[in-house]
Amino acid sequence: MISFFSFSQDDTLFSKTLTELVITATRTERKLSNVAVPVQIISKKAISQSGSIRLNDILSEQTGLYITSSGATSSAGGGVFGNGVQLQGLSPDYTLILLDGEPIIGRQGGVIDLSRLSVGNIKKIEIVKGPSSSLYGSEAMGGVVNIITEQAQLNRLDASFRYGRFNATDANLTAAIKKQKWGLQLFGNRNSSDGFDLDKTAPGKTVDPFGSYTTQARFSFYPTKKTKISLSGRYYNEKQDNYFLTQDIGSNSTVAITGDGNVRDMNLNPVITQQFNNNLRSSLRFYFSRYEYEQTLMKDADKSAYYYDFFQQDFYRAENQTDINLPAKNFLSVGAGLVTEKLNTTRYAGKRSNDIRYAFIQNEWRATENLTFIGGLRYDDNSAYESRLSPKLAGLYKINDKLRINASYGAGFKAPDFRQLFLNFFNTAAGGYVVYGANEISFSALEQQKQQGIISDILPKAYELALLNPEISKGFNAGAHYDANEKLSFDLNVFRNDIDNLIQVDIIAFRSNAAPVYSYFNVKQAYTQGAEFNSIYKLNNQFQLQAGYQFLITADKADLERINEESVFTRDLQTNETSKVTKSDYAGLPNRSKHMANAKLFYENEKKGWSASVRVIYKSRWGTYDKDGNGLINRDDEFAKGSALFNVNAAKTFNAFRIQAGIDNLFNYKDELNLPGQPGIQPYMSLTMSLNKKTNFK
Amino acid sequence: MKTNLIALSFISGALFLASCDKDEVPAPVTVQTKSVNNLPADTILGLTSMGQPYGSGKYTLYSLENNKVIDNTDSATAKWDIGFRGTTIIINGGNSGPGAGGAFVYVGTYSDLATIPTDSTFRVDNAPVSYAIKTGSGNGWYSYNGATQLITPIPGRVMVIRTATGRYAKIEILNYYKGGVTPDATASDNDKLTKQRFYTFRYTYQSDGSKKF
Repeated sequence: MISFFSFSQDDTLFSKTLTELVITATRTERKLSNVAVPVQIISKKAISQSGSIRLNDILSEQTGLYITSSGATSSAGGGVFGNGVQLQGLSPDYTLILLDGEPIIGRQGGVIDLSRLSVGNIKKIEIVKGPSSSLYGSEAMGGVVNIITEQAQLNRLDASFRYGRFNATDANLTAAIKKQKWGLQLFGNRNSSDGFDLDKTAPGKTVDPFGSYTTQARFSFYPTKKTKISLSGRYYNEKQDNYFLTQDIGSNSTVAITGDGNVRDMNLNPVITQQFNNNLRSSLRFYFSRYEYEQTLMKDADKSAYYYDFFQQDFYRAENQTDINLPAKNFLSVGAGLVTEKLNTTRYAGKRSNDIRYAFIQNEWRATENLTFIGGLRYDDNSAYESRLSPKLAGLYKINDKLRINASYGAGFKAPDFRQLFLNFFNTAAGGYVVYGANEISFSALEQQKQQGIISDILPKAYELALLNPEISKGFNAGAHYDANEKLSFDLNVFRNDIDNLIQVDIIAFRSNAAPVYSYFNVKQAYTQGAEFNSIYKLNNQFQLQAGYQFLITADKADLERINEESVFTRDLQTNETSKVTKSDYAGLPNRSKHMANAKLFYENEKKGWSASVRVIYKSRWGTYDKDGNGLINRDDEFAKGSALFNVNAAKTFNAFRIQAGIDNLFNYKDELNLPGQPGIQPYMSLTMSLNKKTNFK
Repeated sequence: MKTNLIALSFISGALFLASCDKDEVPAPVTVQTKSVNNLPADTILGLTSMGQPYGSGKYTLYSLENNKVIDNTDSATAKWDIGFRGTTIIINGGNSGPGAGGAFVYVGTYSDLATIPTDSTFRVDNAPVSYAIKTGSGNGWYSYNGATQLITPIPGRVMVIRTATGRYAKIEILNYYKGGVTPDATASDNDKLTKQRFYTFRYTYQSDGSKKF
């Protein structure tokens, strides 16, 4: 059987077998059934059957992945800066996003906007849940999302075009050439939309029109049977028009502002891998990435400058990883690397840079046929903040052919970001307050400012100014996989993550004009815990049912302490009467749903070329922001309503063509206030043409 | 601004009933609970070139005994008990006024505070270094949300006041915005600025000098 699309044999949705491979869990390819940590794999087929076009589309349909909405208030747990992903209840800041194993940079407000990433050339997505800093270093506190793109397997040419509501278009072109000693894969994507407006009475649109281009090339070269050299490059360019009204502080009148925001994102990634012998393999990887954000705004009336913001981040990395097979079934991986990060922005005083040196070691020991242990350790060292040692331990036991269990413990960290280290921000527009990164201010510098009369009061908090520690997490996962029979399988995973040293901003002094001076401190502690359940049931050769559920409890530990001290009260919205908040009233961290569930039915008749799917994605209510003044989420009006989104589609394949039509958000669910990125019902239609050498044209 | 007498407090009512049960002559009613709506407290006149909002800089002085606003010309007398300017609250005592005033913030519900605990310490103003009612978000009566830029009275915070003449009162701030309604987080900056600094609160005043409400 030859598939019409060049899916490799192992990622067909219906013939998912134990041979499915995972690289992200251990940084070496392993069978999914041999991996001791919770892993989710999204195949190319699942992406195409779901009609997804951007990374956030497909991730939002996976169990336990919560996509934060762009445009929501920052107090609601982030999301002002695009669609980020929460793993096991940890904010998008704490999930590392990798593209072919290399980090995507360009966090705005802590969030990597997932809609920057087209899924058009993705081979599969691997999601490792739980702290993974022992392999990946900073940011892998909640887990890792690794996007693995295609490399040339055969000669092919694919083109597709999709059109949807709001003039949303998505065009893809993929070309691949495969020779014996080399292969070249080229990919281009254009994505655009007119945006949409949920509130016609308010000036401007809810989401402004935007358009983006992605180009990617990957060249693989095999000079000998044991050597592989690859070179990948990617360039992304997005432009969004801006138009809104604002209050002009000087004249106290309303003015219209126009302009645009541009995102540019590029990376380059040469890799050489040498298989020295059966027991020794080594690879050398280089990576350069640049992220730029530039916004230029002007007053519409006279085109005079209103606002200019420029942000440029560079990331350089060199890394070696060597895998050694040792006696007694020990598989050792060792690695080391150097990172330089540079920042050039209008937001800080001049250019800033930071160097990181790191080394890691991991050993996988197959004690018996059924029992595997993995231990790993990574050391990250740098000049701007405290160094970090991240361990990981995991075990897997195959009880019998049907049942396997695993447990893992790991530590994760997130280095203080440039903002927390180097920000030097004097806000003239909103009250003249000042924010200093922890490395930009000291107690003596404050005293100096006080002598000069710039500062009137230094607060006791200023004594605590110190070198920042990374934010850290310790996570425990325990899970089981059970194959009831050939048709039915279950996965269960329970987790607990303790998060410490969360960085928060606090007032350190007051300026002589009474405006506050802020800096950053390691203060907050939180935890997330819960359980995740997934099941797949193959009804027959054509129908497959998937169901998933995540239960999640989170808390800010300081909030819990306050509740236990019985010092937290709420005020009734109607009567204004106050009453004590109990632990059961407390909703935990904002922007998290206690219950998330999904059910998906896929149909495929390969002979006749038909396929279809119905997917329902549910999340229960989630906290937005505190309204009753007690600093935590407890009152009913502090929640956004829970919702269920229904997505349906159908596709027909004939000869080299495939037509897909679908409707996302079938019942037109909208929540203008809390989900400004959700435009409501979105019908779409797409046409794909695939030519490849192995295709038998009828 | 309007003030109105709402009701005798629950506590004084209970005391009244209790006295009747014992066939004693009812004690004279000395405790009254009143609510004050929309009391302007140095409302914002404009923004400085730095974007800093400013008002006239004057406190709105209030007499709890007489339930009315006292003219600023009487600021050096014991006629007023409490003053409001933006989020800052002063008490007629310490360096704020010549009275015997003091205050502290009690943590609990309004009705829970039936008697001022005997071990309570009344603080006095030492402006601008410290105030009897601590200033700053989360320290005294309000919290400020930097993301929504809104001020909300902290529920379960009752200000216990010793008045200028040495009597006792308890005050609960209910709202900081015009009409007693906090603007939505999505309201315009202009709305948030022009509607703030209007106090809605309720208070219970004990005229007999005791610490019972």
